[in-house]
Amino acid sequence: MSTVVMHNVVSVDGFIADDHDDVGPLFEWYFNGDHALVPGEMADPAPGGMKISQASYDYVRPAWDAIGSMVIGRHLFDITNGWEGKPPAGDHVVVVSHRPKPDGWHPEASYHFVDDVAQAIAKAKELAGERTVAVAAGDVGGQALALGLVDEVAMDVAPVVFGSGKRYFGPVDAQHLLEDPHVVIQGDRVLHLRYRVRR
Amino acid sequence: MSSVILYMAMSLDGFITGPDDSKENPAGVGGMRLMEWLSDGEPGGGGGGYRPSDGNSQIVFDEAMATGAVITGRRTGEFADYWGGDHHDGVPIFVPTHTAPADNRYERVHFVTEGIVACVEQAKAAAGDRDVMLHGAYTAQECLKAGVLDVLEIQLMPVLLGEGRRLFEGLPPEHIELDLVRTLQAPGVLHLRYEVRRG
Repeated sequence: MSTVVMHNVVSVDGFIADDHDDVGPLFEWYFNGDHALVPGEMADPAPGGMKISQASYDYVRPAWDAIGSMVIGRHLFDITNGWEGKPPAGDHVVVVSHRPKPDGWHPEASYHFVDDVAQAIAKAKELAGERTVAVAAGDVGGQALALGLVDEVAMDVAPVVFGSGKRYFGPVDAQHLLEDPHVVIQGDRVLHLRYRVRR
Repeated sequence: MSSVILYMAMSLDGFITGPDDSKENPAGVGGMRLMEWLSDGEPGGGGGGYRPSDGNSQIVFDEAMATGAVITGRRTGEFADYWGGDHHDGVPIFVPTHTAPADNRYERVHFVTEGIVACVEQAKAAAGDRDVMLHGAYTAQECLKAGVLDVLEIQLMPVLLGEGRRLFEGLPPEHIELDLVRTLQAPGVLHLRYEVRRG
């Protein structure tokens, strides 16, 4: 069975972006190291490519490699144009949306549009097989967690207070117990935390 | 040089109380969950507090109890009845407020009406070489806005409360950059110490 992991980079006060979808200093750690995150770029890093610290690389690269499919919201799809059909991790993307895939958009890419969070998670599990399902935090991740569909919560905590913006846990409005974190890894300008949701 | 250090237990989703906090139930519904990092300890220690049994939690607890003055918000202070006038070791307690109460039963509790900066100055003067403990979300926000908060010592609890009073809200949109300077893991709690970057 695949594990469903809710994930995002997050500020100390729980925001994944400001009110204008600006990530500000949240992504600084993606670019301040000497290990190219994308395989094959080590010898010849792409201009502006992601380079992270050794500690972050040792955690992030295997975690990304374990991902089979991602579940994202329509908003993230729209602002990234679905990463032009190339997901940052895994081979498949399920987009939670009431609107269909844009006409003619990257027909070769394994992107699936589903209008219900529970069905989206089910579809992503089917696509991932034994591999991990990564659910973007925020509205979609928060709904999945509230529905009891999330197994683990992964947060890359950047040392910044936003004060306002888009929240990591989105619409979660009830108590949920987690286990103690089984990952606590300090990188450079980031703290990687991972919690199992207590059943 | 003494530092102003915020000590607060916070849920992973950023709450410091459950919903409906009141004088009768200061932690709000379910909010006492956040205090559980203390409750493994034996009664005793300064001010009749509870010292946790875990070594890492003891480090944080002992540092808090070694502070030379306390700043507390009026709401937190009144809910706790100003700890009977003695938070720990008889150190003075400073309360920033717009209007001082007509009667003050406690000689060590000082109400400061000249603003948050003056309140911090008085607490630092009283603490001498020792640090100043800060308690209360609203007061912490006022200190952050005024640039007089040096350190956040957060007891991060593995629970989502979903509702309640948030540690960070009502802040301006400008990001406040931090540096993570210490991570201490203990059963049931993760102690994170952040220094606030200046300018």
